[in-house]
Amino acid sequence: MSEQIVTSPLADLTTRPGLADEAELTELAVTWAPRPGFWGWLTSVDHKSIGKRYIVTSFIWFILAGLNAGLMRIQLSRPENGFMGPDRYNQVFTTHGTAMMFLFAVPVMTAFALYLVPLMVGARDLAYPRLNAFGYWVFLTGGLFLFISFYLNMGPNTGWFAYTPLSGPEFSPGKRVDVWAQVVTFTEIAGLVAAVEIVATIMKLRAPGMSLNRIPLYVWSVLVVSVMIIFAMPAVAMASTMMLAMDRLVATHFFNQAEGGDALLWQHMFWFFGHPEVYIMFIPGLGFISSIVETFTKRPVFGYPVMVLSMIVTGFVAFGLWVHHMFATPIPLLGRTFFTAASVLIALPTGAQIFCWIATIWSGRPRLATPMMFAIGFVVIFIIGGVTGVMIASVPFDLQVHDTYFIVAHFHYVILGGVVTPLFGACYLWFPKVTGRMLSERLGKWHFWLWFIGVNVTFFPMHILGLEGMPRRVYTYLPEMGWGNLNLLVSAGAVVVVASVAVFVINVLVSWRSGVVAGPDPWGGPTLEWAAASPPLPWNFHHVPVVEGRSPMWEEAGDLPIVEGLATHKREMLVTTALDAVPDSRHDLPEESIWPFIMAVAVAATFIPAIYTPWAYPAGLVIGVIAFAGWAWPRGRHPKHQVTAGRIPRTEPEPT
Amino acid sequence: MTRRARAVMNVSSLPDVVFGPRDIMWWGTLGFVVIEGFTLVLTAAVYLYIQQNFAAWPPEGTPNPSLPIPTLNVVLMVLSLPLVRWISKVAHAFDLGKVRIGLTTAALLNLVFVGLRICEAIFSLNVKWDSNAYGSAQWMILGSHFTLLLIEFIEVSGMALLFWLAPVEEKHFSDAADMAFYWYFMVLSWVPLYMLCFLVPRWI
Amino acid sequence: MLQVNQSVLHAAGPRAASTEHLWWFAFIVAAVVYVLTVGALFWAIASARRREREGELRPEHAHDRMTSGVGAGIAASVVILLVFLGYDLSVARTRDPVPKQHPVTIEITGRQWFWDVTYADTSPHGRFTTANEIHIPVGQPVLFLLSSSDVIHSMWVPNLAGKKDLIPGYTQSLWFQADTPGVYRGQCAEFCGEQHAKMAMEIVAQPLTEYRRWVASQSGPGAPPADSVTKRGQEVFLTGTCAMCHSIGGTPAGSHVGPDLSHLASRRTIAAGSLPNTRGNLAGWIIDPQRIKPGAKMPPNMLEPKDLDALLTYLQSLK
Repeated sequence: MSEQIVTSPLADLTTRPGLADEAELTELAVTWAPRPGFWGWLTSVDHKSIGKRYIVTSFIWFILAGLNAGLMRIQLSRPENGFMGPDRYNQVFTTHGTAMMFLFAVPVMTAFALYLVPLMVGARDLAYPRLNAFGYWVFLTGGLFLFISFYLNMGPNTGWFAYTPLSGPEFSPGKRVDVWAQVVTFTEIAGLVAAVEIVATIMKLRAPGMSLNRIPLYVWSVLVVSVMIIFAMPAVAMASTMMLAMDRLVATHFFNQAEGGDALLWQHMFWFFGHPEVYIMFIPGLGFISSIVETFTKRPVFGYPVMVLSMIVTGFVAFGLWVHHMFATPIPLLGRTFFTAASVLIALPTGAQIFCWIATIWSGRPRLATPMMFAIGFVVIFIIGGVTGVMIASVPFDLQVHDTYFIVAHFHYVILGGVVTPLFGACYLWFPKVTGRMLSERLGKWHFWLWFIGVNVTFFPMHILGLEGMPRRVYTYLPEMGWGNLNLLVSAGAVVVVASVAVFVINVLVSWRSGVVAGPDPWGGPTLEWAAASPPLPWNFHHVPVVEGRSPMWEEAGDLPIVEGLATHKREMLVTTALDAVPDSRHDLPEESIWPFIMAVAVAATFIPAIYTPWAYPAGLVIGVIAFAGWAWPRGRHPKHQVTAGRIPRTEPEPT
Repeated sequence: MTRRARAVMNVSSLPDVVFGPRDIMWWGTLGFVVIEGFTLVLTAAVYLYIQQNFAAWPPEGTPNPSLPIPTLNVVLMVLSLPLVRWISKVAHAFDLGKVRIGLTTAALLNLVFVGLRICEAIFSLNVKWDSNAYGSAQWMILGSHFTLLLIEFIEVSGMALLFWLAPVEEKHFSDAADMAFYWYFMVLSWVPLYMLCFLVPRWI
Repeated sequence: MLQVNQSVLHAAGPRAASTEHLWWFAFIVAAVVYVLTVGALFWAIASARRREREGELRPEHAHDRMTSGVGAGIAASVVILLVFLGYDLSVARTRDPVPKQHPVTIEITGRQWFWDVTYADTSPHGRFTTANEIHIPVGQPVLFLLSSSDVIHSMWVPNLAGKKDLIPGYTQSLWFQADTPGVYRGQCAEFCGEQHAKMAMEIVAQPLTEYRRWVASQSGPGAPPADSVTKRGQEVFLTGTCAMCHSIGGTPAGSHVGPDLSHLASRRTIAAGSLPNTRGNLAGWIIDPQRIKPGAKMPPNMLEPKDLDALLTYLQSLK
């Protein structure tokens, strides 16, 4: 009896050798075969297929929004520059912020989770495959709507945060702000869908033995973030879709001072979402760092309970900070004191995590492959943003630098350092899993160093500009202010950032075709995704692995325990109990379907015309009902499971 | 490094239809309940925030909301709960005939709630959404919960149609029980909002 | 580096000064924390690699040492954060309350895209209105009452104090004091639309006697025309479109849509700090404001050259 793992292209590491398995694998390949061609792509419900396009689409918005930033830097490189007038500039910076925050930073993180979580927990797909497809199409709609409007000079122009009354009907006539409100609607729907998927998958579809205290730290990070999304996104969806859109469309008075409304109400609702939003972007990045550090030091991260508790505490406290965006508005002293204290103390859990990573590295065998370099880069860049964050928790200091380039510097340091740098590291770590090929290490080093230099040269001077009096969101400045030279330096740094991203894109395009072929586990990582083939087979794992510790791939015990008995003639997955992951039931998975796409069309057909007339809502509802019928109506594919009057449902399982 | 795979359990004997938190679909329903529930909490928060801008509530010149239709509606909703509990029970028993009757009755009741809610907005609130911020806040609470009523109506009537006309499978009974769970949320979330919209302006 | 005073790092009054000290304290602490943390990271890498070279698999007593290290890091962070928090809260408490004695109270209404300024002297002839340029006496606290008639703006004069927002429906108070005479520039710091970038103000801090002289000269109506050209200029102003938006004391023009121009000639800048107040700049601004501030609410004014000349002479007489 052979002791080797079968390594045929059809197999993954959970396959047992032997004839029965070959037959099973063949049947699985038929059962799970993706439909061919464009129609197959359109109707796919495979989380990997959807995850890949979700990630690619997010990066496209990232590049487009980055080009906007390039335009801004050209305009600001000299005082009184005539490259762009104020109207165009205001659209450019609003689209930059809106796209980066709503269309890139959160969606790319949820997209990675939608791809990775089933693989990391040992499941065959997400909990609701069709809902996942629907979420992607709605997300795509949001991005197209924003950028097409922008390129048609109809782009929103009141900032990514659209403060009232400037964004209200009196001071922003026309449809630009309505475009913004609906982009938010689309992205919030997509975000909430992803959150529900992730929570359900993590709670119910984990491999047997993977109790909650054994799930990877990355999985914890996206679980925390998904719960945050569920509580944060309704606030902004409500504020934009309901209240602002209604003020503009049907003359409600939520933000109209004259009729008892309140301009500050918008700020409270927006920032109640907006502050958790930045932690929603940041915490998965922390999860990436844990995965990278473990893999490239060959040690599990030190202090697992501290790491988990830190993420949970951060996620929770994040909801108690939002007023620190409003220190310049009338807030009572008690409120200012509370929000200052909370904003200072939230640094603590993140600091604890950094110390745990340092300890892990110290006790391990660090290898400086590209993902690890980005992890180190994260610490070096992010902490600058972290310490300025503690500074601006102070009310007197914040009142000086609020709405200046000091803040722009702060948040770009935490976002580029704490979100995008780990993201790049994650790309180098998991590219082999997704595509079956390695990214080039040489190009990776170029990417890293251009990024590191570019980010610092671009954003460090902005601290000085803010302290020297330069406010934000200005399309130009006077020559006598003395800001010209630093702005020129900043713009030069932006060129380096563009070059860095260009190198990354080239690396991806070239390596996807002709990179070094990767096996299932090129890095020797600890978590279950490395047991699947690279790229994974459509059904992820032939046999569901049984997990006995936090680093299942590093367990030293002899055999690889697996669970067998999942059907191969139909698409089926294993459902386990929420806390201890004891196998509990089996669940049928849906096949490819066009209805999620049609439902997304219904959503688009509702919310886009809604910027012109409220009758779009009932009309869209009708289309939605049709799409829902198509989605939910049973096709009678499982006669053995049918119940008719007079027929008692069977209680025995089918023979395999 | 090679390891031999060894089967430690065969799961083909596990059930493929389960109810409640054991069922993966229940978690999706829970997710939407939390999202929509929190949204309703936020509508109440907006209402209370706006109230601080007014000395009188309703504002001077705006009449109090009237009670008959809203009270009828909320009472009917609460009275529907035992029916829905019964639906859940017969769904657990895979009783096709009873589930059909239960769902049809529930769908009709839901339609009544929808109709009464429209009447509440037009005849009982006594203020328009564009009169003042009080009106806007009232319409937003009613409208938000109305969306829940409407979506549930579509779901329940769709499910009733399915149980009469389609090839009904075992898992649909689990879905019918989930519907009961959502119905509880729909009714119980309305009770405090009814008080906020229709009783609080009269009490203050 | 600066020719203009608009900086957090050159405090000219007590509020800005205590914030500047807080900044330097925070900066030094932050720099130390940063160097120690990043240093620890690189030390950890170097240490691990050295151990690997020497053939050791794991460090001795790894778990205990890591626990102490992480514990020490957390404890130190708690102490540093609490010290910073304490210092900050004490600054906020001492500097926030308005001093009881503040002889000058000034009401400011933010408008797209200028500052409507009213000196709120309680005596009947004491109130007067101006725009964008605010004089204050050196060494005395000044109280500003801030509101807006359109969107949210923010008043920020960094050399003197932090900012406060001007929000329609609310009145906020902001106080500061200049201890050194000079001109301190401020800018709107809340995005307020197309010309947010060019909504500046100047605080002119003067010794008390000069300040009083300035107040006296601003309190009365605009100077009546002294010769025929100036009179013609006033006629152009009153009969043309100017009077629809601008007010000049002592004339029928009383509209508050645009800034008050009663003593325009006494100001250093025009268009909310966008241009020095010279005849040429004034001419360019009047003829086509859209070239200087695209989107501004002031339309172009095509005037006959003689009328323009007279108008300029009149405006330049309003000292």
